[in-house]
Amino acid sequence: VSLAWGLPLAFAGLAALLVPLLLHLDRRRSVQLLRFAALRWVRAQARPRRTWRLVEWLLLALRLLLVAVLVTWLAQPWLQGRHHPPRHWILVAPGAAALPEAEAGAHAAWLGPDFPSLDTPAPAPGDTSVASLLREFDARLAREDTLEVRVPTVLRGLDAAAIELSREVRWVVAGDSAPPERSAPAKRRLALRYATASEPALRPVRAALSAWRAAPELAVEIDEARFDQPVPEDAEAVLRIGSPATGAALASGPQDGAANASEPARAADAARARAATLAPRGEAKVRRELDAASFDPALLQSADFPRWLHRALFGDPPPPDRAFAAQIAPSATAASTAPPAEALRPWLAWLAAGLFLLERVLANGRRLVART
Amino acid sequence: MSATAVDLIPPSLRPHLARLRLSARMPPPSGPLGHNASRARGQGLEFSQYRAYEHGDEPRHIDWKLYARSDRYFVRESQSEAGLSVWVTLDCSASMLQADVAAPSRSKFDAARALGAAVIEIALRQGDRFGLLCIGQDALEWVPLGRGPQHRNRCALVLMRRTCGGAWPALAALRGAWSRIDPAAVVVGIGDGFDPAATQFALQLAATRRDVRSIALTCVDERDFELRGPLLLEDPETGARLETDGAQARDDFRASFQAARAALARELAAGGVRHVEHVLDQPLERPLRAVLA
Repeated sequence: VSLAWGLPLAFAGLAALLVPLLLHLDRRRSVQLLRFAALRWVRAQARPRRTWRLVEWLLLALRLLLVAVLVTWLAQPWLQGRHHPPRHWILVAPGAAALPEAEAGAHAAWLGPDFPSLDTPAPAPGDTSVASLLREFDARLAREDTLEVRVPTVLRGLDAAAIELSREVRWVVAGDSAPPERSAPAKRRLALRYATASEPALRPVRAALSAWRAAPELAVEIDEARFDQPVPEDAEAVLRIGSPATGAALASGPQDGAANASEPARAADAARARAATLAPRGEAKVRRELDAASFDPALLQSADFPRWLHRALFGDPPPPDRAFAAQIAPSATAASTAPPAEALRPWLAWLAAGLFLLERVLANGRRLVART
Repeated sequence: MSATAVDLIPPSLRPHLARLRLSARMPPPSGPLGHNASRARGQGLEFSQYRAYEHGDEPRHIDWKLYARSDRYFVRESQSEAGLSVWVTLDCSASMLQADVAAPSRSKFDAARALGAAVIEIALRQGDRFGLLCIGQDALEWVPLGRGPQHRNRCALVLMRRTCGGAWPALAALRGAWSRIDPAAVVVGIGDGFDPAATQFALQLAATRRDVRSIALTCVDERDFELRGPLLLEDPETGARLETDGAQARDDFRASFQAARAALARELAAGGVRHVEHVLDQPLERPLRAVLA
């Protein structure tokens, strides 16, 4: 247990201790004048001591204490170190097997935001970075505490870095509370709308779409139709080719578009293409709409076009955030942070208030008693 | 007037007066009758001796019964009892106003007056002649020898009115004492013993066949010096001031004061003066018993 000071400079305020000392110094040199006939036998060498007499010792001590407490309060003391015997903490990652009954009495919490107690339902997995949560909890613990983390076989919510903590962690791969759903990621839907089937831009786009089919992570369900077909509600992205849907064209049904993406003038400002138009539909659904008119002809020719198109429509693929838990055991390589500290200011404030009351009573008590 | 004389003597002292006797060391010369044996033999109550008849003796002084047994004439002589002359000399210098810090109303001078009045009371009871001499700086105050209650009251009045001040006068100022205090008188000197001149005066009186008794008064503070803290001491006679600390000066003062008192007692004893020291917290009859007996 050690004390830390938030503002050690405040100890200069200890000079204020002089104030009560000066107040209590009896500066009246209370020399007693005595008629003393036997003066000739008093030796003159016995000079009187310079007496610095302090009066009302108890009150002075109280006032000194009060000043010292106030100065200490100003210095913002923090108490560091453990206030309890070392504890063994068990963190259970959501999805891991339930804690055995034998260890149910230990200090245990969910590995989730604010580390809720195990009595509460498990937080949703993968919402917060596991490494971040672990680091936070690691910093909360005293140095002597030990930590055990029970994780499912596959841990979600990871980030790209290895988990580094300040202590050795007992990393228990505790199996899964429920078998992880192996459901394939839901296929995205792309609505492809064009004015006429003979749009020149349609060919490279179709080629790109067929290229997507080769890569499973790019797999997309394509709803291809003319402009007059309504866009399905669950489509995540809309790609328009040909006439930039004028109201008239849409109203009059299919017609040959006068303007198309092949027009050199339009293709020239592909650079300023709106890569994506975000248009929220529904509650959380985000639909990206892309106009093929903005495509750079050079881009259409390039080999990267399918991936570019996919990214433009669906955004970056999410970074990998899951791993086999057994392979990502945290390492005790991080510098140990300062143990949690407890602010002592409130206690000192109460102490100062109590001392002040006592000082007032002591200073005025005699007068008050005399009055009654 | 009698009441005032009573006031001078504290009630605690008065019962002791009846048992106290003032007797001279040497028989006083013949004079008025008193309780003390005189050097002159002759008529009186106390038988002294027989002596052979000489021519001129009165026949009625012949012891006829002894003549019948021895066929010789013997004259029966008795000692005449003579009265003493008692002088009470009182030190009235300013230092006699010294009192204790703890008991500021009990000054040395109060004790001195009580002792003087007691001596006068005893002398009155014995039928002796007594006189009073108050010695201050400015003037000597004499109450000449006299006897009787009236004279006692006269002395008491002087004692009551007397104040202290100044220092002890030079020996020359006391020249009148030699003619007034007759040889073989009993002189009871009451003072504080601080003045060497007073000691010299007593020694000179003793050297000239006066029967000198001395009572030196000491305060409790002077004996114990239980004074604390910073002190500014002032000599009441010279006005000299000395700053000191009670606790620091204590041991040194006690030692030197006791040495001075012992030296005073030795000097007076060597000079034939019966001396006693009286501390104010002691009973008053103690010095009287020591000095008068």
